[in-house]
Amino acid sequence: MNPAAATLKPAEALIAQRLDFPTWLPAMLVKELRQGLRARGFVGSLVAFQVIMTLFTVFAIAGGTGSASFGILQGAYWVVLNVQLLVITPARALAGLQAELEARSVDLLLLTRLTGWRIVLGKWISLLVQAALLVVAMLPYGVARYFFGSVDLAGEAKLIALLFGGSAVLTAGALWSSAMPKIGRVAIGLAVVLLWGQANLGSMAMMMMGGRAGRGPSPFPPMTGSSLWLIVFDGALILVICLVGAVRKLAPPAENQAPILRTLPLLSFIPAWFVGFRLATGQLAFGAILLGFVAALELARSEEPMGGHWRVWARRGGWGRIVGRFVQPGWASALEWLLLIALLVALAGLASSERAKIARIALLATEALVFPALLLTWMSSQFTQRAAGYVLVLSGASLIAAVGAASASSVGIHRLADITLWVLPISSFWSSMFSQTAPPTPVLIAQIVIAAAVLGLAWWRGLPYRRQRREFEAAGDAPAPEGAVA
Amino acid sequence: MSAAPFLVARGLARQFGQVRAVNGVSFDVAAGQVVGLIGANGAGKTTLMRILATLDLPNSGTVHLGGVNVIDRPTVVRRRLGWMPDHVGVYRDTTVGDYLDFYARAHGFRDGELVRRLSDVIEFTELGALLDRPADALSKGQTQRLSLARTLLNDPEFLILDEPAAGLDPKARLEFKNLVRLLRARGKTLLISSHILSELGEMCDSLLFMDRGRMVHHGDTDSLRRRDAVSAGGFAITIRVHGDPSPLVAWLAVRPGWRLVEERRDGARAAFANADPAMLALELRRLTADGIAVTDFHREERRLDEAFVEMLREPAAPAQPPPLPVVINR
Repeated sequence: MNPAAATLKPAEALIAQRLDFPTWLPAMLVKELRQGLRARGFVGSLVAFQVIMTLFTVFAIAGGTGSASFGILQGAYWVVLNVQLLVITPARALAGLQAELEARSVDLLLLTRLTGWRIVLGKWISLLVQAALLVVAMLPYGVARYFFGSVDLAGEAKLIALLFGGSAVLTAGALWSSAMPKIGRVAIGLAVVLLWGQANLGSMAMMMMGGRAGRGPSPFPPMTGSSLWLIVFDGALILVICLVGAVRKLAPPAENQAPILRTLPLLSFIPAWFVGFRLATGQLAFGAILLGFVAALELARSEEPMGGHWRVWARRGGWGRIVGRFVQPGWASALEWLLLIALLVALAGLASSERAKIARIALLATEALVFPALLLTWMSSQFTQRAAGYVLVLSGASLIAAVGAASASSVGIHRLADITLWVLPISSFWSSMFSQTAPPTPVLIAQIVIAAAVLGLAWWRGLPYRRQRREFEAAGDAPAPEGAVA
Repeated sequence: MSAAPFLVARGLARQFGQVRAVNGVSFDVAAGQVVGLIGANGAGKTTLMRILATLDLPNSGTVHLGGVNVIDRPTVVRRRLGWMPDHVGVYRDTTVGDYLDFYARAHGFRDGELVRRLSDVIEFTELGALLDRPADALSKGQTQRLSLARTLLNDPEFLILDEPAAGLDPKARLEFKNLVRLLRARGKTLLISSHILSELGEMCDSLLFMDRGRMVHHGDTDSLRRRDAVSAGGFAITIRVHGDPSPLVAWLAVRPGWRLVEERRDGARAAFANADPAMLALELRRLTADGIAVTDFHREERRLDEAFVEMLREPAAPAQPPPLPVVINR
């Protein structure tokens, strides 16, 4: 018995014996590892993949050291790694937050020193640790391949790192979606599996059948230098956005995630300054898509202003008050943030020869993003599926415009088709975005007038929100009531 | 309230869309007090408790716990409070020991401190024999003890217990009441929400009644129980006698201050104009001096659930203490 244990009371000694993980490890990670390592999903996949790989290794040995045997083992190895990292691990994350929501334990966790971030990170890291354990368990088969053909160690290490990165992003996305209703989770899970299958299974099967020897096969196009770093950077941005989304599902109203979420898409534009023209164009397009996605997420939210959130920024002085108004939770603050970005884009476009088009696209994109949020302001407060409602309006308006334009065009009413495509909110953005030529001046004026009307109406609908924020500003900080015991 | 307030809530309001779940609620709780929170479903109890527990933000109003602003400094407040909701929140494939160990780690305890804290709460809640039992396979009483153990892990000064006795059998209920007494003896301040009002009356120093988001009563249990008799034009007294009750009835008819409410087989129910215990003692002495064989003489107290139902029937009364002007989220 160690001397420290000898001084413990019997009950304390009993507890000390039970500690299976060091106490310095994060609590959430310990809890998730305890549960995860016992879970059927982990134990089942560990055993199943060992059996599969043992069988393939035996077949390969039986076939001799020819290229066909190597192909079989090579294909099986990568398929199993792919399945482990890109299917099993994210699929297990699909139940991540649901377990907490079903146990109704989120509030209890938040009353400890755990924050929404610590909870989500604990779950995410735990899943990646378990994925790493599965990968480590595959190493003997990776070594076995060496005896059947040459193995490019550096290339394979890079590929495994990329697979692991992909797994990290997908797992974060799955964690985010794990708080959604079951039908949403199932749909996302199926989509991921189908996309993965399309991207990987074909090439893996070819590899197995073709008996390709030599360098490790890669499901990705060759990547070097800047493009690789850009992929890592963009993947990290998507990863953090997914984690913020997951945190939001758990965090109490006192935690405001809007500042980080609204900053992330802006970061995506930074690398465009440091890479070549072709990569910069792609990066700007990626940034625009990410910005639109985050704007849609933020505009679909219905939070009312809270004094606690405002005061955090107000205490930082004049700049804090200016920045603070753009990062408050709720659609009305998101509208201000989006309008500011649209203005900055238009100003940045002044340096371009296509400044008019850039300004118009920025205006129409803002209108397209704000229009569904404007309609949602008239929905009942009991309507909780606001994100679904937002997507429905966005896609529905696009679809109606397309069908309307096609119908009008088919019966020869071209003017109506043009109006439908060029003037209505959302469709006007798509038409202007993908058209090579500028529309006629009357259409241009109509686009601007309608966009201004949509944005003006949205601004008007946000007045109560801004009024309340002004009240917080006027109220300032207050000391504790007299007589309160500290 | 004589002691300085430990919990001070002023003008709390929380709105969900058009629904005002909590509407201008103000109250104080002194350190070391046990306070009952009563209200029908939808009265706003849970919303109020969630605000106090830092899990929700009010649209307006302030709360200070031990001088710390609950709204602005939730993380500081969380270290000083424990919340035991009406559900336990246990996980699958988790033993009682692992469950408590996880929460102790989550509260930031490490090494020997973690072991000591776990040992203390396990001893207090007598869970030592259940450490290897799956947490989701306990009886209701054991589950409540586990829930209390988790709540006590950070040694909170202020505890919020939401329906702690719901679903417990009489033995477990008694055990739980004893635990509450022990907590009070340790100087904890408790806010207990329950529908079992008689139990709240036994455990609590004062009661908060909520109705439709408003605080309709804040006072001690005795004043609540006796309100009924006052409104009936006198304080209800039950008198039982040995033998024929007619001399008692005749005595009540002539004696000043008394009014017969109901003649009974073994006595009578009467109303007396004065609630002063000295006056009542004097009347009892006169009654016996006049030759009436009194076997029982007591002032009636209204049952708390009756008081609660009657209070809900009354038009909305101002909260006690009256709410201060609403301060926007300061």
